[in-house]
Amino acid sequence: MEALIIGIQNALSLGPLLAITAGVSVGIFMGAIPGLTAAMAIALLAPITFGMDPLTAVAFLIGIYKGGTFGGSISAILLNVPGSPEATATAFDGYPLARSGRAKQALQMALYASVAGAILADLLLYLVAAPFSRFALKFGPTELTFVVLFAFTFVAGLTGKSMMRGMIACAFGILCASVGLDPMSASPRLTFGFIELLDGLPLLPIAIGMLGVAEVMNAAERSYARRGSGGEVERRSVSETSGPSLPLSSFLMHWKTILRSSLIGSAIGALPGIGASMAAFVGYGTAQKYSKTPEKFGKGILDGVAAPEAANSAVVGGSFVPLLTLGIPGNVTTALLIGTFLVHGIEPGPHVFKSEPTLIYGIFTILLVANFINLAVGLLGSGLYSHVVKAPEHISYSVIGLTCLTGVFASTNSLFSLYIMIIFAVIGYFMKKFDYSFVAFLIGFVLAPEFELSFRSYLLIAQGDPLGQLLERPIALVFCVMTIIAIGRIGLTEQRKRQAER
Amino acid sequence: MFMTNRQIMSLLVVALSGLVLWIIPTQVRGDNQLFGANGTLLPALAIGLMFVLSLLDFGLSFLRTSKSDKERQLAREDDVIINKPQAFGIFLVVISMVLFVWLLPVVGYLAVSTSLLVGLMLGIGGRGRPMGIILTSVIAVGVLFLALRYGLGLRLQIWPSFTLWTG
Repeated sequence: MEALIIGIQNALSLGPLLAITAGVSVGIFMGAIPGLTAAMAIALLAPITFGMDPLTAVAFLIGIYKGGTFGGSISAILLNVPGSPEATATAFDGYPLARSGRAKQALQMALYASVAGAILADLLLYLVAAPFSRFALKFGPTELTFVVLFAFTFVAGLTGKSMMRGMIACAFGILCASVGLDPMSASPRLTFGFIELLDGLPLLPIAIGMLGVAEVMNAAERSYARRGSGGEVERRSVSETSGPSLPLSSFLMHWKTILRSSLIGSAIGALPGIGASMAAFVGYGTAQKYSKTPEKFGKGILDGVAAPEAANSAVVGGSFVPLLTLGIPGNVTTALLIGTFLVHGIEPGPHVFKSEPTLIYGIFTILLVANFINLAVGLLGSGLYSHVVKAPEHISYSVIGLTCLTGVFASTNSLFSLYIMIIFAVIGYFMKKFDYSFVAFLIGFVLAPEFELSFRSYLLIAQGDPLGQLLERPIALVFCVMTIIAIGRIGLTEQRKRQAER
Repeated sequence: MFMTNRQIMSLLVVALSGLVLWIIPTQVRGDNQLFGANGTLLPALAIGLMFVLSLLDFGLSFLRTSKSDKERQLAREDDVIINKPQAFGIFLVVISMVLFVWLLPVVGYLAVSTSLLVGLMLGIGGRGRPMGIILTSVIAVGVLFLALRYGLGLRLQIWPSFTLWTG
């Protein structure tokens, strides 16, 4: 109890509070720039924390992590360019909302949902850290294989007009993720002699190309079509207004979605390797599944913003479960955090709860306090950000194009990445036109490395009897059955819908 | 023979995935049987799935449109239109961005970014006030550059590289 009080007192002193505020501001700014992520901000700014005391340093980095997670949604909503990969799902409904003149509401929903999701996850971290880590340890390759397979099916079936095309897109994502070094033997695969491809295809140029640059193509297409029809070409903006603010009552109406997504995000965050992007997509898919108006998703619905934002922000708290209790980083950002913890003499793991209890409670408190500072900084800026949508179309989309190029070049320092971005912009443009869900593509791409490792390890463990191995693992068996049911149900629903249309 | 653009796209995916399926073994180096299934397994499964599902997609759609005039009419109404505006959008963005990548190491960030912005603004409908467009481009590039350089400490090559020109 004494450790708890001292930990809280330490966390609420001036140094850590100022560090959180600075971290959140930097995080929001970095997160909002396409191509620059919270992970990159932490990598860039970690050296300046070396002179600070451990708690202040951790406060600064946690601030960046929290701010960056929300910051990604700003450009996703205003420009349809996710500032970070986990904000991709936010763009699906956030951008249509901005286009329909409700940018401020979308931004505020993203902020409130983000903060609410993070608070719930942090409270869960207090409560279930140790027991959940023990459960997550039971997930071997067999379980992970079927969990990811279930995610593939779920997303492919729900995010496009056709499950078949969703699966094709997902398979294409897996194929693209196979480029680079074989994860088990480290031999080059599908690199076609390009040294740059040995590290694999980078996620950010692909995501930015498919969403941001493809949107610039659409703007140019619309402009040409308007010119042909003699319409007004110059003054059209993404939206004429940033729209009214979001009343608290409207936000509270979405509590079920936020609670559900927060739980999903916390659980996924605690599972190493899956990460915030997956949480956002699963949160979005689940919200759509349970919605009374699933057909409105993707066209501009506040639930579609709340779900991914609550889920991806809850991942931050969830990811601290394996990080603090087992010393296992769940994603790139927590891997970078572990590096900084070690520099400050903090060695995450089960023993740290006994050796440094005040520090652990201090970190828990910082995680909670950072949410309120995130809310304050985000609210102060939301009016400012939403004015971006008032810019004329030819200016905003041209600047988006340049920001995409600059962001990708600045984060990768490689001209090759820019070519990859341009190629995937064209692919994304056609995928969108022909209803191949790029959400399914991105999910396939993000989860394929984890899936391949688990799948091949599963085959290795099974020693020629994969069915026998599956029957021995109840958790995996449950996910396998759920996958089969999902394929059947989604297929049947599509068939009925097609018949009804005729 | 009646075919929609969607069906042509499905056939294109069948052809491309068939080609990739054929070349995959030549692009996976090493016999790594010791490490579980071979490294070809996942890409081959993915591309095989693309091949089979695209073929199925094409087949089902083709059978449907072969049935009656009404089905053909429905398919035509639901089809994707590919014409001049689409081609313009793709070419404008691809050509201006490829030029940006080519010229970036040669003429530096400031000049190439300003040119890109002017080109895109004119392409996306900003007509009538050339000075306004140039001024907006210069300001936007300046702000972006200052934010990256002094806000985030990122260094970009801003001026032309004379060593690249003179060798």
